[in-house]
Amino acid sequence: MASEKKVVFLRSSDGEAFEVSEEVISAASVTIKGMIDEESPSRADTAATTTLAIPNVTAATLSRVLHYVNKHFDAAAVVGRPDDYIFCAPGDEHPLARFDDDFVDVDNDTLIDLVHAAEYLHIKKLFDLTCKAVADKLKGRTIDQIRETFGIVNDYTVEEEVEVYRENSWAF
Amino acid sequence: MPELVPLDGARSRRRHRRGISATSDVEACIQCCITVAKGFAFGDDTRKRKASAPQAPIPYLSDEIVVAILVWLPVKSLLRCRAVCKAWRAIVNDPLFVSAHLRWSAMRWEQEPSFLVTPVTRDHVIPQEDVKERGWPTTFSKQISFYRYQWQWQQSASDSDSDNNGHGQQQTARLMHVKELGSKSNRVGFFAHCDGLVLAPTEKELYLLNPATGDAITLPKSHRNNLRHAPRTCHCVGLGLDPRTGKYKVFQAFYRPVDPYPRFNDYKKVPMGMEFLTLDGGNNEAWTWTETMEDSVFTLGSGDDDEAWTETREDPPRPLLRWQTGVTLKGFIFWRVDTAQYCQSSAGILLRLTLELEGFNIIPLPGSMRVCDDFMLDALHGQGELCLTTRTSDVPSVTIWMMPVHNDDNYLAMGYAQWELRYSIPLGLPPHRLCRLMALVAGGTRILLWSDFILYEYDLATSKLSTVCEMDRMRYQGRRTRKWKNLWSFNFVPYTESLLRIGSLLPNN
Repeated sequence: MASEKKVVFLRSSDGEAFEVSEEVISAASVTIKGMIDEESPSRADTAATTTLAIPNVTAATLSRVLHYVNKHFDAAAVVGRPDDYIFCAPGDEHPLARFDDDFVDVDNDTLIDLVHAAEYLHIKKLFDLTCKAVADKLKGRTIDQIRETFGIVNDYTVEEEVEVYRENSWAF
Repeated sequence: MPELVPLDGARSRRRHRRGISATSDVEACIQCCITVAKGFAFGDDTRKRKASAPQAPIPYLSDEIVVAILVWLPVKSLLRCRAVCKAWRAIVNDPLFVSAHLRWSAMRWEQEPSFLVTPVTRDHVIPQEDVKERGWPTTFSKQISFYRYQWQWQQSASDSDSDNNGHGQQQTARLMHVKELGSKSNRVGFFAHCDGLVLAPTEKELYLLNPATGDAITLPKSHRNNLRHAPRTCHCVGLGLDPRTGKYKVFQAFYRPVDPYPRFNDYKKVPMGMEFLTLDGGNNEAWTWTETMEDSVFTLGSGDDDEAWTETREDPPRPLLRWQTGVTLKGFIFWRVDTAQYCQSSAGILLRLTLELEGFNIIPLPGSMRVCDDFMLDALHGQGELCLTTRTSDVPSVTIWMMPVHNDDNYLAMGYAQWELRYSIPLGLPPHRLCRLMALVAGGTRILLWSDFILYEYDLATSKLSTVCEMDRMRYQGRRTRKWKNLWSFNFVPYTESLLRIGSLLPNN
């Protein structure tokens, strides 16, 4: 019935609202698709646009997430192969590979916020991408640096720690 | 995130085990839980904590997220990550994480194919033994080094001028693990690989290793395989995953002695049996022997080698080649039949063992192949196909047959195996030499072939054959000298790294 594109508004935890195409966000986020489906019977009667509260995601993170979503899930914007697991030869790059690389090239806290947001919103592609980026950051770090990055307290006793190190001494 | 779903269910179990494994004392157990909670926040706690202290920039991660992150890491990093805190250690040790990581590992193999390279060297050379066709030398080194080689996409040789030397840059293999073999002069056969586990059959022993974790064990000797002490010995082995139980099984064939003191060459008249042992791959922390048959043999004391090996329900219906390593694919192991002994029919055959049922089937070879045609058998794991490589005598070329392997047996019951002549590659090999198909890479557009010391790459689009590397001239990282002294051969096998532990596999360990 509606010829023009439907939009929804997402309100971040700090109260900022973002406009996004309903079609795009439904394709991307399982959580928001669920919210929209729940709302839809009441929406049929009213012309008002829907505003969905996203209480766990801040404005800064949400705007990043929507930037990603618009790049990856807007059928009009995505060119070439939609499947990102396909083999990409170096000379034959996936059009979004560079975008993804730049997207996750952020500081730790921002990245972790994105992981949480992707998990909460159920955006699998973004979740995988950000988790992989965190893993890449972990690779070269020492144990102490990892603990510091994630705010993890070392809960081993000295004896236990020695034991853990000894199990695979060659890996350190 | 379908891969992560089962881990949700495992969480409560993991917590429970964490408490128990730390100590049996209840108070200490509670204390332990508190410290875990301090170091690590779970699920809903995360949000509350964050809301109550918004100024703290420290990001907390739930177990699910930690799993989703760690699964991307290589085995070596994961082993280190166990030292971060108890919760991370519990995650890495969790069998469900191990299998999730293995799936990830296998998925990445498609994009970054990697191989295990093992040079087989001799301690010194006895000149009379230095001719390959003369039989086997007696001075093999008792040390084997496992290197990992990762194939990388390069511009096809046809695009550049460097003909026959396609990959201009030198290929590198990284040292993973060094294993000392117990006895001296141990001839090493082809390796069997399954999910990061490597079965290394040697003249004297069978070794099971995980080169990524550095775990290794010598498998118990079998009293059935007593012809190993006779001049003619049986070294027909295989390693595979039973899809029903999720457990790994090692198989070896043996001769049934009719005469307790078999004479030289008598093995030809001796019927063959097959025995196996099961590795409990399901539980990472306590591998145990499993009793797959309700046989009274198992009532003997534990740790006895005699009970480690069990006979398969059926004997191989045809004698198998004495020195061979079976090819495993989709819950089956394929072996070659000893054609010198079995010449009743003009058609060549293979034997297929179903791991689940421990039963054999006969698989015919391609119709146009003669019994005397020599061939190599390999598995293409990504494609789920069995492939057979032969050489043509008139034109210098290599022919590759493929057969899809199905889990359902209808196609076999109908009495035909669907071999398809897939590739014909203009590769001229020295006399009596064969090559093996190692992988389809670059999204199925190139074939990797291995023969002796050389790894070839064949571009299907341009029909161009090039040399990827000469294995003896590869750069071996972790070793001072690049040149191998007294190099005899190489073992080369597609390899997916995994966290599967073999550590406490044997009951008497």
